[in-house]
Amino acid sequence: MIMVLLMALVGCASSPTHRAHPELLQRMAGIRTVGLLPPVISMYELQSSKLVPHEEWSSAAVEAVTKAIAAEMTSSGLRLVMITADDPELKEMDALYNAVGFSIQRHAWGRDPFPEKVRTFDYSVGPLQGVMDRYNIDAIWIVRGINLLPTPGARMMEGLEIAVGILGSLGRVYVPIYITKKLELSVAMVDRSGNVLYYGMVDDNKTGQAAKERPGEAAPAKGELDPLRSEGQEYLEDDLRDPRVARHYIRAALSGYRGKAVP
Amino acid sequence: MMRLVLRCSGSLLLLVMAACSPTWNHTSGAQTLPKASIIIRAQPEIMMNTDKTVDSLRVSFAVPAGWHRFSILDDLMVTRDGVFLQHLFIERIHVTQTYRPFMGWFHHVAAFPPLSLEDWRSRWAKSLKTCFTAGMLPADAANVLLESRKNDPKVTDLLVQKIVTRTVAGRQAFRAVFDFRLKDSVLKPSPVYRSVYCGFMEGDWFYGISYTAALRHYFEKDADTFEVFLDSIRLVEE
Repeated sequence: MIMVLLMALVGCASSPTHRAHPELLQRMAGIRTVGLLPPVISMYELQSSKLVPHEEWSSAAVEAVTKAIAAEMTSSGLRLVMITADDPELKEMDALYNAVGFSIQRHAWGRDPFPEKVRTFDYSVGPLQGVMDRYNIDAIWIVRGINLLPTPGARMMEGLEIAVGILGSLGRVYVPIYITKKLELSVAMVDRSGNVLYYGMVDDNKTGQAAKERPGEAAPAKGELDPLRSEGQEYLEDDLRDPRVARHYIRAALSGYRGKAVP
Repeated sequence: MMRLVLRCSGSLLLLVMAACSPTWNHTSGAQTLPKASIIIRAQPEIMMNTDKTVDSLRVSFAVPAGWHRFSILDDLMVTRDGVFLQHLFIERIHVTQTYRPFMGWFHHVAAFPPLSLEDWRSRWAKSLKTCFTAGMLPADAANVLLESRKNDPKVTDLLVQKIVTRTVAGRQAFRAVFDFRLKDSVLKPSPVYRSVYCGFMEGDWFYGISYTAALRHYFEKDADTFEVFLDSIRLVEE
């Protein structure tokens, strides 16, 4: 039983965080200015038996994620331009991207793998020359995310389920442990041809909690107040409204791209 | 505690179903779809057990190279990039059917679709309000089919572009082209889809062969592939 659990964990750990178009490196050379469609982030409160959507949380998460991407682009030497999906062509592209993203996650990643898609990452949202010219950009970032913030009751229930699972395995009784992903974030870059050049996807299982790592920031010294808390902001672990968490996940999702963009 | 027990049972059931769940077949070339079957129930006032099973003909077809197929109950789905981007579909509907019959728990589990198919069920015959009839003219069959799309709660913004007649597998068929968006699906919002649907009657069975793809970029890309697929369709007599 322990071997099976270990194998499952190894499988999770080794799954990729990104896929890239075979010509990513060549095409990146021509990308100087990138547009960003408003990220679509859905935030929910995870109660013990239901999910409650929170619009205002989602807006705060969008703001934090947008700033995190802007910071990443600056450090990659790219200019970022905010664009809106009001343009009819962009609107239809954005809707098509939902289907493209769905297919990438199923067939280029591993749930229902298609051999060709696993071998060569090749998805498109259709040519975008007109849009790129109108906004004077070379590529577009598309960001999607979902973030569940558990209530204390939901956390307690999950803790109890894990404890029962462990006790069960000790007693050689298999009790499946059902742990809900709390955060999943995907980023995709499409170029003028409409090809998805880069697709990165991270979740709290693959990436780990941001609060422990705080990339780019020194942890507060002992006895020193956490700056965000001292401003009256209280965030849970893996809360995308927290700028540090947003930065952490965006950095992880863009890790494959950054590795190629920054010499 | 009850919730804990339910979740554990649910997880176990999902594991069992996942283990039973078939996956996509990646073999291209000539294939044959087995007969579709339906059980005609005896009328309650007749005491004798007169339930009978009626079968359609088998359908042979050629899966394009690089495409992937999956059989759901008696239907066939073929896609290259993913069902929400483009797919070919073959379905057979008996004249008595206005919904897809439930054929028992095991049959349902055995036909449990892969994750990527779970949300594309709006194409099933369950939205038919009127039945097909034996010998129905192609134009009338097209009306029944299009009516089912209008009634489909998962379809919105339906726009019929064209209906013509053509020959499919040596039978007089209709060829309807229509656009729509999905409603309440995993895609929010849904892109515009275009379907080319060819259908004909053979005995007491309606045979439908269709191509559906996102109108932007994907539809044109594989429109010719559909024509080749359509030309490969044959009904296999005993």
